[in-house]
Amino acid sequence: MSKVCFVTTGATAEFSELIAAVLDPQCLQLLKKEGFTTLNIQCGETFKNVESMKPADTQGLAIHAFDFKPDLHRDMRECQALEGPGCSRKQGLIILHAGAGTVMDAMRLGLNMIVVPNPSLLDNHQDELAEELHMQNYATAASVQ
Amino acid sequence: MILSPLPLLTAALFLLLTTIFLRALYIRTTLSRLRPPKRTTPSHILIVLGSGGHTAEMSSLLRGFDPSRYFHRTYVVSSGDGFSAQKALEIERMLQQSKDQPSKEGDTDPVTGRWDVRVVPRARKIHQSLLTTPFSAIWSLASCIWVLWDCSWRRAGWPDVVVTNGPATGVMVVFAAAGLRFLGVAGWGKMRCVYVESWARVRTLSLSGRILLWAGVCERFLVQWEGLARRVNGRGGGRGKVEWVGFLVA
Repeated sequence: MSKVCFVTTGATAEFSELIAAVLDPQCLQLLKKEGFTTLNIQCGETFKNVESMKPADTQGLAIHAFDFKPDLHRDMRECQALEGPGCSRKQGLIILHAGAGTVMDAMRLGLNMIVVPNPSLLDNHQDELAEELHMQNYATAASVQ
Repeated sequence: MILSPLPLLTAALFLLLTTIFLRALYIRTTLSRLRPPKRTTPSHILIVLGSGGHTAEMSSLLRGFDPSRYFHRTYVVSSGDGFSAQKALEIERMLQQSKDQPSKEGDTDPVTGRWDVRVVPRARKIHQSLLTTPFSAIWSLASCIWVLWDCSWRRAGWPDVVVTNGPATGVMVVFAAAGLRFLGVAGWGKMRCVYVESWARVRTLSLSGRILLWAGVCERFLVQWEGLARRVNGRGGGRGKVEWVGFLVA
């Protein structure tokens, strides 16, 4: 049974710290332990370096990376649980930057969210949004520091 | 006896200021308490669209709007924002979902009414010098006034309600509406302004929000986070209260 973790860094600003953190062997190990089978990453500009960031041992996780897509809804829906003939998935996880639009889309789909504010967007109030979402139990807030 | 010009001028100025003050007070106290009439006739809504994020939120805000009730919909977009004009069509496609194809801009459909897009120049372009900004802002305000006035000559008439969620153009449109109401040009109870602060604003108001709240020109000022409402209202003072009504765009 597949279980998808989708990582998205947004289209506006580069967020290589988040991708590096996710591709860390320790993180991959943890994902594996939690039963994840697939890791999809929307990298933005970091896409050109992503191959060198991947560790040699991917813990058997299928890792797919891409730079941009006009619409991420399809990738987001892969994090939803699905029961059906020929295809079944467990409820997955989305790890996302704290951009309001993306967070709202993920909330509408009822995804499990880990929200990571991009520190390079200090005046964008991403950290406030992440904190508030965490306080109100909509998401788990994390940081790359 | 010859009156010297200085006292005359002072008296005139005093009269003018008193009139402005009383008129503003009258509008603020009566209009804000006046509940909108129960509608039997279809109404005209003016929607301000801004850049990507604002427009996406506006589109979610309008989800579930009944186009037969808001029979005339005027979208105001800023120049050079082709994306927003395209977005108006997408919003219409959503509102008119019962039909295969939304009605064309400017056509009147017996069920879903009519929609128009109006373009106004930007108050400030990105990277525009602060020195020239006042001029472009005045030019933008003037065209907003023109757009509203132009509505009044058409069958749709003055907009009944103006909705904005924070783009700079929205501030201009609200000021234009407030000015026309102040002068008594627009019909009574027309152009009630509703401001919806962006969902992304969790703890502080955006610049547009701060300006409009300070000016006190919106009938309804809505924020989407309780903490933000508490922060803004907690400062006390009779003026500038915001309403928290939960998530409007989620």
